[in-house]
Parts: sequence; C-alpha cells; structure tokens
Amino acid sequence: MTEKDLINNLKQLKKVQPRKEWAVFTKQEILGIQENISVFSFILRHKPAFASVSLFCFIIALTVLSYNALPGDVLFPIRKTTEKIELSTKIDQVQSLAIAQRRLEDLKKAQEKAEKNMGPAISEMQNSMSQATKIALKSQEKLVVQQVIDIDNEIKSLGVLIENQEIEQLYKREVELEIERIKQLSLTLEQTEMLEKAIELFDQEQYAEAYLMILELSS
Amino acid sequence: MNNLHEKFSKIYDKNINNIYRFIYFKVNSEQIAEDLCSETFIRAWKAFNRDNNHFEQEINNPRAFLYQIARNLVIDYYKQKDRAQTISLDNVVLADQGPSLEEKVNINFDMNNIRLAMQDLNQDYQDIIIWHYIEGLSCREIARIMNKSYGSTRVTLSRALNALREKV
Repeated sequence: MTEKDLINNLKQLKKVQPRKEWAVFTKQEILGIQENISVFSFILRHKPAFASVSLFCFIIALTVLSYNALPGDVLFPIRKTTEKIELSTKIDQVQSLAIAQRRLEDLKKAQEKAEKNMGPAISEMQNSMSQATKIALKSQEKLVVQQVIDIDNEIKSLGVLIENQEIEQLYKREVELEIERIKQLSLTLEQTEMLEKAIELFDQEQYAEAYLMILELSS
Repeated sequence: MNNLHEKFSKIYDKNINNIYRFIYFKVNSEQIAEDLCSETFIRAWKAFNRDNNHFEQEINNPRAFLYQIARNLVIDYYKQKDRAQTISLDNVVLADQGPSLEEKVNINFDMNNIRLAMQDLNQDYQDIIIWHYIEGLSCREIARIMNKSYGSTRVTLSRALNALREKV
C-alpha cells in the first residue's frame, strides 16, 4: 500500500461515530435534569415536533429500563453512566465503595442466572474493586478499609477469583499495623501463640490469612 | 438551560464524535469506548463547574483538554487490563457482541486492516496518527496536547506513519 493510499484510508476512518442515542443520553445525563425540563417546556411552548418529544421519552425510558441491566447487557453502559453521574458529587471513598458494592450485587445476580455469561460481571467487579482498594490504601480510615476487606471476602465466598494486587498491599499494611498495636498489649498464652502464627503467616506473605488470624485474636 | 450548561453543551456537541473515535480506535470495543468517553466528559464537566473562568482562560482549547483526559483514561484502562490478564477467567467474553464495525459503518477491507494494525503501535504513535490523519489536527495542536516541541512532533508523526506502513 502506498503512503498516499494509507493516508486516504486513514481519513476515511472518520466515518466511525458513536451511537446517536447514546451520545444524546450521555449529554442529558451529564448536564442534569434542568436541561430536560427546559427542553420539555420549550417543546410545549412551541407546538412540539413529534421527533423531539419522542426523543425525550426515549431517553427517559432508556434510563428506567437500564436500572436492572447487568454487566454484558446492552443497556449496562447506560446504567453505568447514570451511576457515575449520580455519585459524582460524593467524595472518592464513598463513590468507589458504592460502585464496588453495586458490582458485587451484580455479580451475585449474574451467578443466579445460570445462562448468564459471568465474564463481564467479573471484569466489572475486578475494575471497581481495584479502584476501591487503591482509594482505601490512600485512606487511613478504618471504616473504608474494613468495607473493602468485607467486599473482598464476599467475592471469595462466591467462589470467584479476581486479580487485585492492591488488596494484598492493603492486607499487608493492616496486618503490620495490627501486629505493632497488639505487641504493646498484655496477652494470654493462647493469644501470644495466635500472634506468633499471624507473624509467621505475614513472613510467608500470606497477608489475608494473617489478617484473619489477627481478627480471631482480637475477637 | 443556564449559561454554564449552554457553554458546555456546545463543547460536548462539538467534540463528542472526535473523543469517542479517539478512544474507540485505542480500545477496539464500543462498550469500553462509551464508558471511557462518558467518563471523559463527566470529568471535564466537573472541571468546568469547579472554575468556569479558569476553564475558559487556562483551558482555552477544550478539545485539547478533553483529549488529555481521554488519553489518561485509556492509559489507566490498559494498566488495569494488563493486571487482569495475569489470571485466566472462565467464560470471559469481553469483546463486543453486536454487529462488527464493518457492518455498522461502510469501511472497506484495507481500512479495517489499518485500524487493526494501529493497535500494534505504541500509544504515542497511535495518538499522533489518529489526531493528524483521522481528526485533522495540525502538528502545532498535537504538540500542545502531547506537551512536546513542534519539531519532535513532526519527527514522531513521520516515524508513526512508517511504523504503520510496515504493519499493514
């Protein structure tokens, strides 16, 4: 292929465009309900063109229909956009935890539907957990860390394996902090043995197991 | 619609196709492109809302600003994807299930080959080819987005095109 042909073909790729309904929907969602209302009142004032009303109704219907969409469904990207906008005013910690929690619910629902392909639900879970864990790592707030670890445990209890390198770091940090804290306390013989076991697991880089041991010791 | 909404609405209309295309050619999935594209505009809308004056004065080129956000989001997406690929998941189907791009848009065999060959180029080469040859941005505009000198941008563009020719 000559350079000229290559450049001509590249220029032709400008034909690729997003789906019209998606582009309209996303704009409406980002700019918020004010625009819908003003568009609607404009339509009412100016003897509406049928197409405009249909478009407005279509967007509303699409939003409602997407509420129950699961990862992999056609309407799931719309639900994701709605969620992002809904949570955009919240602080990062709340936002990432809420999304991870919703993806966990999606994962459970996808598992219940035997015919459902689990791939997209697992992939979405993985991305949201990775994000939530990163934020928990930056945060020192116990509640945030605890919630991320709870979600991780729930995922494991579903028998689903996800790759999340950050979660190991989170467990490691928490175990390190807890070991230092517990070392300052006076312990029973049984608790001392459990602490030693937790330290052993920590040295073997089995941070999640070490964390469980610490939990057991503290309970 | 208030003034702020109106201004951003115009920015959105003017750039949505370009930003979507830029992301789509880099991730090769309609669903992921929609996802990252909406995130790009949500972030831009937040920045616009936070400080409209700053947005207009400092970010006097909204298109460049949007491309920068989109570019960072694509980089983050690939970082996450690389990590995800280290494990195997049963029945994972992440590619689009709908009609292919060739079916949706009238593009020929050569164009599709070029599109797929672009995926093998490094990120800078992909960006510069999309911006210059598909979107029609000048080398000066690209230099500004990439934070490079004009000369270096021209050299990269020439190398990128040669690399693409070798792939197709």
